[in-house]
Formats: sequence, structure tokens, C-alpha cells
Amino acid sequence: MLSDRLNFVGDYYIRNTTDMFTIGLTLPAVFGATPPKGNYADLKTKGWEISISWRDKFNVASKPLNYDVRFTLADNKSTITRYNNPDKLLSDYYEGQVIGEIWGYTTEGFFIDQADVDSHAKQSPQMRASPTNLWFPGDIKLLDANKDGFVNIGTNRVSDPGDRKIIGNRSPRYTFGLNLGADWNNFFFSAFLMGVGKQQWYPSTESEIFWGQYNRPYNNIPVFHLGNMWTPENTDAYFPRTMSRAASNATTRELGVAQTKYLQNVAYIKLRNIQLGYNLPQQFASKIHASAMQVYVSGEDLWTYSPLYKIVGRGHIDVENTGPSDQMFTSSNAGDGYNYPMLKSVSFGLSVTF
Amino acid sequence: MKKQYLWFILIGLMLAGCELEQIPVSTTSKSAVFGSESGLKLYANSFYSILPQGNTRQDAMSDYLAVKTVPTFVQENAFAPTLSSGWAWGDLRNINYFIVNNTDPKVPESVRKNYMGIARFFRAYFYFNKVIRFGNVPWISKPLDVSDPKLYGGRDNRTVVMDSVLADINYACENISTTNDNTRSLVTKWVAYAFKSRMCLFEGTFRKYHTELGLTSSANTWLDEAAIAAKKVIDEGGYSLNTSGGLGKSYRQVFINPSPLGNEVLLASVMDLALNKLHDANWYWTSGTYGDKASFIRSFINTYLKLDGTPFTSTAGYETMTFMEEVKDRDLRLKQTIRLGDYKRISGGVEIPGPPVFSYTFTGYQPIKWALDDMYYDTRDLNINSIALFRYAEVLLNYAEAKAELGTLTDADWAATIGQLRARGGITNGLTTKPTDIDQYLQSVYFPDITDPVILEVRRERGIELCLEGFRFPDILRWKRGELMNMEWNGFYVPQLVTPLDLNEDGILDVAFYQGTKPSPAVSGVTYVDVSPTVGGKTNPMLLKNNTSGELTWMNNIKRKWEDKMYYYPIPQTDLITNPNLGQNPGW
Repeated sequence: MLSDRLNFVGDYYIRNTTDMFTIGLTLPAVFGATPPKGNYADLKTKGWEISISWRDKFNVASKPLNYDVRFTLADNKSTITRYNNPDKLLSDYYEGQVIGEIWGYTTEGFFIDQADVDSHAKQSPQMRASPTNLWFPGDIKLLDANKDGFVNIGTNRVSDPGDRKIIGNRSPRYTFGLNLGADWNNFFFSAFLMGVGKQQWYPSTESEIFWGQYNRPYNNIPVFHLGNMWTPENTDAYFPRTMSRAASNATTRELGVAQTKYLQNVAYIKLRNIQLGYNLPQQFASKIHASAMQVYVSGEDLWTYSPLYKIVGRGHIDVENTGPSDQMFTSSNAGDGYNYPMLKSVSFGLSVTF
Repeated sequence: MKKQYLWFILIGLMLAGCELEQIPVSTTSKSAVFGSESGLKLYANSFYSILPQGNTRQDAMSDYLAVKTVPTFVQENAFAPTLSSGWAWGDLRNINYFIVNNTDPKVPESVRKNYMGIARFFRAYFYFNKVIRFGNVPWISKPLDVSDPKLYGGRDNRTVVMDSVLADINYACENISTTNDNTRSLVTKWVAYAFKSRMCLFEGTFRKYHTELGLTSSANTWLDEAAIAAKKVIDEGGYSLNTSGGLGKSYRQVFINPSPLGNEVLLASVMDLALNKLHDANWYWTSGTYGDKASFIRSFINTYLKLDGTPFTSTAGYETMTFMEEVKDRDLRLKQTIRLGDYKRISGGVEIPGPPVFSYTFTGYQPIKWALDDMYYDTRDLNINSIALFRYAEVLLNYAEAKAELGTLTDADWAATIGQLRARGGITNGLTTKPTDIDQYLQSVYFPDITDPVILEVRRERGIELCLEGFRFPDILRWKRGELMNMEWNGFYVPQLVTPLDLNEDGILDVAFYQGTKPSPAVSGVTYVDVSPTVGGKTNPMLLKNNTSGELTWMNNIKRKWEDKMYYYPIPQTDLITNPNLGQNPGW
């Protein structure tokens, strides 16, 4: 009926990884050494992939224009099904954890005045804004979710995370790709777009490219910080009252702690590759005894869109540089904007086939 | 026929292959380490990392040093379990593993006992520091298994722990066979006795003055032990105070000499230029940016006696004496501790005047005890001077204080201990008999509850002799004088603004204090210090007591508040969460 023009491939899978070799249960410090490793961990991944493609042609100026469109979409979610952490301490992996989840506070806004500071739940001693441990208008105000008068991490367990909850997940979800291709009258065109449908990123404390002078006072200051910091005249800003080292520590500083306001949406769509070319007529090729010759121009990474750019502006952080890069050989979390920048490129080419 | 042969061959192979045990060839086995003296010696070397290495800043948090940033621990309401640290037990496991496995009969018993003694010395040292920091801690005497219930147990009372520590140090004192090590870098029998006097003095006075613990009745037993241990070193150790540099130089010589001065130093952290093992004392003590810019406060400098043995604070008008005047005719240790008078530094081989520099000091009393004179060492960690960890002067002071607290200090004891230390300081009176007069200043400013003049003077001597060596904060804890941490950080007296002062009277003007705009034209070579009430809209941390004159005061705007809970550090929050049975120290 559709004469072979429509193609659909779909996959659903469940993958169980068992007996992964990992550290033993984190023991109290009096043990005096790192616990011995063993086969303590299991992981279950569920996912699916679909691919739909459509290929057709029609005539334009009595020459055939072939085109094809292919759309792929995939998603997966991994859950830990066994791990040595019976108390479900959040400092380690735990059974039932979805890989990549981010625990954080809910940001209420900024303190408006001293009365607001005094009447709000105590954010010290868990964290501080300034070294004197005093809170001022313009500092971050977090929600006291369990209404105990303090904003803290509770006992850092799943059953008692204090005032935190799961606010996001750093694993990429709904990864998609779109291939477009067409050729007509010896011209050929192709384009490839790809992206991630859902992913969050909480900039880590050392992400200078995001936190600027909120991390260290001698860091560079990103352009999107200018005019965007709370002052008594500008209470609607994105960032709080300027305070260096506000993002220096992930558990004890007002910006370093993961929270909803600064959780970035790093879903994106990117034009990875676009190419336009022309097959030179046969007589050109045969002059040099080649069987075919083509000229083409192609561009890589020319365009990206992400909700992240609404906050940080364009040309500053590449949304693909927010996650960790080389995890194969190191456990470092390079990412956070520190990877080698993604470069746009345009190239011209000539292809000769003998 | 062939099938039978096959069976024979198979069975034969199986029997031959029974021994499947293989010893690893790239890691050592227990018998290699514990079965030879060199193995034990090598293992014992790993214990030494517990000792402070190349550290001259152990007194950074104390009552008598004014520093760049008020330590978070003493700031009002600033410290919390989330910021606490020190709950690390890896060193103990290393020691316990040795103790438990040091049983191989291939090594002669006396050798095993010697190294066991060294291991138990270090276990005592480890636990002593833990008790000072946290009070009650769990006593663990063997390396724990992953399933050991003690991992999740509670803490043991300090009485249990210190009794075990005493047993450990007694064993060490009796069984360590080395009595002399020329490098002064190995633990010897006398080091063990000296440490015993240190820890018993701590525990005895802690129990005596912390009456809330209800342990005062056992205090004297500890003080007795301290005195006995110290006496052993005094009588049999063969040590003496260093006087080889002559009067006015011998004290400081102990701290700036590259190799430990063997007559006085029992154990030192030794540096080595060839091995690139150096420390950063000069950089720390003479930098405007690195380190804490630590300087003494005037209230403490006032406790240095005059050369004739009388208190400086008995001189009329001492409060308004200028720096140049007040440093004259004082205990010679003062000029070997801070910059004053004709102190010179060496720059490129040439001697240059060395007055206090106000980019390095806030109070004017700039320490030189650990810093070498040659400015070559100032730029980074290049120091080659060894750092004494145990020295004879401390043993004398431990002995004197223990006996004074017991009430059994005699005139002869006084002469042999405090008398000798003061003689090295050039003091001429009060060396042979115990003091009978109470110094009003010392009592009212430092120890209002002490009415025994002998104890007062012993404490004065200890503060002066052992300053900057890491004893002050534990001393404050055991004397229950935490309130001293709230003391104002005062500097020297400034008679008036604008007029430059020549601090070392060499004819070159050094520093001037101003308010508002810097005086113009500025006198060349003078450091101008702004003491305006506010700078840039914020309170100026550097002020004068009476606004335009008076003692310098530093950082009065950051509130320090001592609370009783601070006599112990809190258990760090992460460790408490992992094991709630530890419980938290009261008040935290």
C-alpha cells in the first residue's frame, strides 16, 4: 500500500547487570581503612528505541527529487537493584536509586529584609552565605519542607533527607535524531539534527563558567552575571547578593547546594551536520580519468537551541559541555563547561572517485 | 590396556596438583615483615607520619596570637558539626595491625618487645590527641573486621581510654630499648617518658580543673605519674638546656638550628635539603599574604618579666609605654621570640635592620622564633631548621607544674626547673626560691581563680618558654580558661597619630598611624597604617583604643565567644550520620 516507502523499527529492552564489582558498605571511620571490594551491585536498565523512516520522490521540473526523512527516538532508565547501603544513605548508591538523580532543596527566593531572615527557618548551621554566618536581604531563601525550623540535610538518608527531594536527573532522556536527505538533478543535500529531550544539570561548585565570582572572588565574571545580581534596587535578579565562595561547597554554601532555582534544563536540539553538494557532470570527471567528481560544502555543529541559553546567553557554555566527558579512564567530572569547546566548522570539499 | 594407563595418568596428575597454594610475588607476606627485625623496623617507620611534620603554626588558634581571620571555631555561632574534622582512624588501624601481628617467634623476644613498645607509644600518642579533641572516644585495640559490632558502637568514657593509654605508655617506657639516637628522629625510651609526663600532666590538670566531670579525686594520681616520668628523664636522660650560643642566643638557637641540638632536643621533625624535605616557617611568619599573619598580643607580651625578675606590669605607667621603651631590660627570651631592638635580617649576604613590619603584623609584636634571619627563605617552603617535638625544657616545666599542683614543689625543684629556664633568659633574681608574691596582673588578666603564686609563675614560665610550639590551646583547655580566647587582640601603644615611630631606634623611621587621608608628603620608608574608624563604609578592623591614641586593637568587630561546649570539638556530622550511636558532645 505504501510501496515500501515507510519503514518502522522498534526495540524494547530490559538489561540486568548483576554482581558488579564495587566498594563494600561504607563503614564508620573507626574501621580505619577503605572497606574491601566485592560483587555487591546489580543494575537494571529498561529502554526502548524507535526509528521511523520515509522515503519518496516526486518530480520537480520533470526531474525526480528523491527525499528521505528518518526520525529516531530512544530512551532508557537505569535503576540500582542491589547495593551495599541498607540505611539508604544518600552519600552512596542505594537500592531503588534511579541513576543520575539529583537531590536538592526548593528555592523560595531571596530574603527581603531582616524581618524575613528572622522569621524564616534557620539555614545555619547547615550552610552559610557569608563567613560571618549572618544572613542578609538578597541571600538565598530555601524552603523548610519538613517544617522543623531548620533547613538541612536531615540524617542524609532516603527516609530522612531533611528538606530535600529529588529535583531532577542528570541522565539524558529521550535522545532523538532526525536525518534529512534529498537529491535532485545532481544536487544532493543532507542534514542531521540530534538532541536530548529531557536532562537537568546542577552546575558543580567548581564550574567557574557558570558561577563566576560566586565560586572564587578572583574568577572571571561571565557576561550573563552583569546586571543579574540582586541589589536593593534590582530585587528581581537571577543571582543573589554578590558573595564570593557562595558556591564553594556542595553542602555548606547557599549556592553550592543543589536547589530548584539554579537547576538548569539542558535539553537541546543541535544541527550536527548539514551538507549541500553537486555531482559534477561526467565529462569533467572523465577528463582526469575519474569515474565521479563531487563538490560540496558542509557545516558541523552550526546551530543549537537549549533552554539553558535563555539563562546563560549564547556563545558562552555549550550545552553539550555540561555533562562529564571522559569517564572511561578517570572519574573526574570534567564537564561543567571545562571540556574542549565544541567548534562550529564549515568546510568545502571536492571528492574524486577513481 | 590404554584406558587403564589413562586413568593412572589422570589420578597421578590430580595428586601432584593438590598443592595449589601460591604466595603472591609482588606483595610482601606477613612472615617476611614480622619474622625479621628489619621487617619490624620498616613497619615501625610508618608510625612516624602521625607526628607533626614541618609544622610551625600549631598555635595559630590560641589566645595570644592575633591572626588575619578570626578562626571559625571561636567566632560567635559560627562552628558546627558540619565543619568539624579529625575523626580519622587510619593511623590507629596501622598501629593495631602491627600490635596484633607482632608475635613471630623468629624474632627474639626483646626485639619484639622493643618494637611493640614503639607501637604502643604511637597508639598512646594517637589516642591522647583524640581525647584532647573529642573527650570520649571509642577504645579500639585491634584492627576491626567488617562485621565487628564495635564499628557501630558508642564512645568509651575518657577514664577508660586514658587508663588504656597509660598502660600503653608504661609498656613503651619499660620496653623501648633505644636510649640514644643521634639524629633525634627516632623514638627512644626518654621520648616515651617525656611524652608520659606531658599526657599525665594534661589529664591530671584537666580532671582537677574540670570539676563538672566529677573526676577530681583521681587527678593527683595522674599528676604523680607526670612528676615521676619527668624525674626519670631529668635524672637519667642526660639532657640539659642549650647554652652553647651564649646568653641572648641559646634559646632561639634551639629553633633555628638545622640539626636538632642534641643536648636539649629529644625528638625533632628533621629537615633535609638533599631530600627536598623543607618547611615553610619563614614564608608563614614573614608574609603579607600567605599564612595567618600571626603576631602576639600585648596582654601576653606584658607577662615577660624584667631582667631583675620583677613583673613588667609592676612598673608604673607601663600601659602607655611605647614599644621602644617597653622592650628594654626584659627577659632575654623576648628578643629571641619577637623582633625588637637591634634585630637584623640578612638580605643577599648583607645585614639590614629588622624592625616589625606592619604589612606582616597587626600588633607590632612580630614573631621570629621559628623564622630564619636570612631573607632567602622567605619566598616559599625553603626552611631547613629542624622543629623540636619533645625538648628538655618541656620536661622541666611538666615536672614543675605537676609538683606545684600537688603542692610538693620544693625550692630545690624550683631552682632545677624554672630557675634554670629563667637563667637562660638572663633573669637575675628569683631563681633559687619559690615565689611568694602574687603578680596582680597575671592573676587578674589570666588566672583569676588561682591563688597559689607558685602555680601562677609556673604557668607564666610555660607560656613564655613554650610559646608557638603547639602547647597553648591544650593548656587553655586543661586549665579551663577557654574565656581567654575572647581576649582583645591588642597591639603596642601608639602615643599619637601621624608622627612616625622608629621602632628599633636605628634612626630610620618605620611606621606611622593616621586617620582620614594619608599624610602628604609621605616620609619615605615609613609604612602608613590607616586607623580611621571606618574604611570604605565598613568598620576598620585596625583601630586605636582611644581613637587617636592608645593601644592598637585588631578585629574587635568580629565577635568571639567562648562557650563551655567548646572544650571539645563536635563529632563531624558525616560520621555521626554513619553511626548515630556515637552520640554528640554536649551543647553541639
